[in-house]
Amino acid sequence: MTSEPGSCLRGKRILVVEDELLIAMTIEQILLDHGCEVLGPAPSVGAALRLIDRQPPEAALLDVNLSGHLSTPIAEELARRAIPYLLVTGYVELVLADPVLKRAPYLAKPFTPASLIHKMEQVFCRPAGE
Amino acid sequence: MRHPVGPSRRLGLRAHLLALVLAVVVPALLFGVVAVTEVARSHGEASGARLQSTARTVALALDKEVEAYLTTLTALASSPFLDEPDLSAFDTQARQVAQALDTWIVALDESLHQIANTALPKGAPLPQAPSAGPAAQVFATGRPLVSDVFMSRTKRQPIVAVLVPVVRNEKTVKVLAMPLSPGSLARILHGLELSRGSFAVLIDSRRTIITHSRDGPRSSGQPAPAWYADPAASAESHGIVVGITPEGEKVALALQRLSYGNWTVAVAEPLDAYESSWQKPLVGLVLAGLVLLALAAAAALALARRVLRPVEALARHARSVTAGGSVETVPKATIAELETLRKALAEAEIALRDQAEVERTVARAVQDNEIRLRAVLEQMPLGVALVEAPSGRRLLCNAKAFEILGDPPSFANDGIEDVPVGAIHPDGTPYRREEHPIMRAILHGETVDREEMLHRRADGTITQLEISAAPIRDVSGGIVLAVGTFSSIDARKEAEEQHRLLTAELSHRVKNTLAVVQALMVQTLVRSRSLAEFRSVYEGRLHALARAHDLLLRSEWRHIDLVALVQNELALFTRNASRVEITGESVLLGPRQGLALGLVLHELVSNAVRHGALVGATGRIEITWTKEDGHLRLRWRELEGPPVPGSPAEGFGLELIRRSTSYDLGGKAECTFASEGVTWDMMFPL
Repeated sequence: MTSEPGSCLRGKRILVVEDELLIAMTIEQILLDHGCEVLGPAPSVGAALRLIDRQPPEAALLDVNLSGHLSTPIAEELARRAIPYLLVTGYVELVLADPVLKRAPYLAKPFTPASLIHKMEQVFCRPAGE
Repeated sequence: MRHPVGPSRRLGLRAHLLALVLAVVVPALLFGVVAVTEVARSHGEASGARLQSTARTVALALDKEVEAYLTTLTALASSPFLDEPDLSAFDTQARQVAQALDTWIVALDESLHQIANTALPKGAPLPQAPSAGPAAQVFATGRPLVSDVFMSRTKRQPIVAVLVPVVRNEKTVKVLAMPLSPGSLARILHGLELSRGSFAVLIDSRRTIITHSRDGPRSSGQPAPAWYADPAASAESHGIVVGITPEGEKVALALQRLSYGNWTVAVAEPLDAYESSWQKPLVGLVLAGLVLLALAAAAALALARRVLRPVEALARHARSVTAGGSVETVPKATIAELETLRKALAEAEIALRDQAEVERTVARAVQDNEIRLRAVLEQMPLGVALVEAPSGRRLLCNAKAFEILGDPPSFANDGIEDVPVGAIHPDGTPYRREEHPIMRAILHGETVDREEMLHRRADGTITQLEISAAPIRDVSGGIVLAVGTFSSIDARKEAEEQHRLLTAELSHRVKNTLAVVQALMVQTLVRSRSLAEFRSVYEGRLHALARAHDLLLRSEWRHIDLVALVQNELALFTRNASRVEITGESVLLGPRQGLALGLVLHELVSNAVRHGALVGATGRIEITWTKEDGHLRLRWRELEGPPVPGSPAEGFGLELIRRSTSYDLGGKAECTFASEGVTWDMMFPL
């Protein structure tokens, strides 16, 4: 797609939903390093939905298991708004068991900054309308 | 098989024996009766004939007598002395004749006046009145006559007479009458040798008695009973009539008409004598018959008892054998066939007893086996069902089967339409009959080993089964039964699912923890000035994380006690109570809260060790917490430490404390710097 890593990501406002502070901080750090604007991070479904409502993001990274709650409502809201999202999870089976989430692209934890960016480019940097 | 032996409503042997006797005796008896009747009848006829013959003999003798009188009188009528005007010559002649015959003669003229009468002395005046009666009849007919009884004017007594006409020139000019001597008639009757009690009587056409063998002339002129001379009666009964005499005597009577006159002679015999003549042998025959019959009956009875007694004894014995009561031996029978029967029955009884004993033994063995089988079945940890081939009907189920399959247990279709189908596919559709493992064993002889399937109980609950089935064949190899064993694997499936979930959860946590550890490393690394500093700080944080994990694992990942967490982080210093003071009750924190607070406390301790109250030897720390409205309020206060060099730079430690309190705990942390030490006030919902 593009030769320059993170090119399409630059300047994108990306929602980060992650209940682990340290992971959220790490993702935040990676996104900031690649010129993204970070919305959040949000630790819960309620917090994420409030953020989306207040300031709709252009893309989203979703943890699947938020302190025992599935992030399905967030995925549905994002889908309703046609906002692309990438699941970031250590819980692949939960994703596959959920009728909404199993169709979404995902990145398994733990991950490296490079694998995250690469996956984000695959998911978020597609031609418009696709 | 045993049939009740009881008195049947059918005819018994006794009745049959009686019928047998009657079948022989009745025709013989009938024959005897007919024979006796015939003998009696011929005897009766002979008696009648004898009586009749006597009557005929009497009649003949009387006829002869009358004929003699008529002949004599007719000869006299032709006497020429009658034609003379003076009849004295005739009178003389007539007197001679009359004397010879012991009677008298009367002559009458046409005017019916007596012209001569030998009953009167010669020359005596004759009765003047004309004579009525038979004389006129003789004048009228011109023929001789034998009269009925009439009253003699001369003798004043009832008499009978013979009358003959005196014919001259074919004209009756005179009539001669000669009474029949009653004595002569009586003599004739007396001359009969009649048996005792018998009598003969002569009567005229008007049924007036002429003479009587017993009474003689005394009864002359008296009327005889009407039936003495009833010609109709005599014709009907072969000339014998039976009646009662005026004397009240019951007699049999033989009647015989005489040739002359309208006279009848009756010979009577007392009925007793008459009947006894033929009834005596009859009675003898009947009596002899009855005696013979009685003897025969007695003999038949005795024989019948000989037949009946052993039969009844056998029947009684058979009944007592059937009832299982005391067994008495049946006495020997005197009749060969019955003895054979008795022996045969005795043998049959022994055989029956042996067979019954065998049956009882077998039945007991079967029962014992069934009890053992039951006991084994009920002890099985599996559900066991015995199913009939080819119907699929359930024959036997142990209690476990009821427990697993519900009540009543049902299999695929079960061969019974109204039983709800138990076996179902995962989509809920019932098994077809031939799909069920037990039915496959029945239909195809298939042996099924631990097949999993779903079963819907009658109450609608569904259980997962592991079922095995095998056919049971008889000696010829045909499938007669199938046995199915099954257990509910719900618990195992649940455990498997639990295990799967646990593994998945573990995988998730491990990956998450690794991600956290990675993030911790990245965050520590970017803020470290040297590798040595990174190593020291990172190891400290990693250990804090590990300690919090330890506490969580002790409670099986349920909660962490705040007291333990705090003591754990301050372990190095809590031994010296003068430096660390912990005030707070036990509060249980969730795993995420515990882990987050563990790291926060670690940062606080680290800061105190590096820059705060724990740097020197004098500083103290007070940690206090309270619960308020579902929130935890925790204060970290450092006292009497070395002077704090103003507000420290915003390091990662402080950022971690603030953000973690906010992000992970959903609360907030505030920091106050004073000269004697730093104070943290944290509040977050529990």
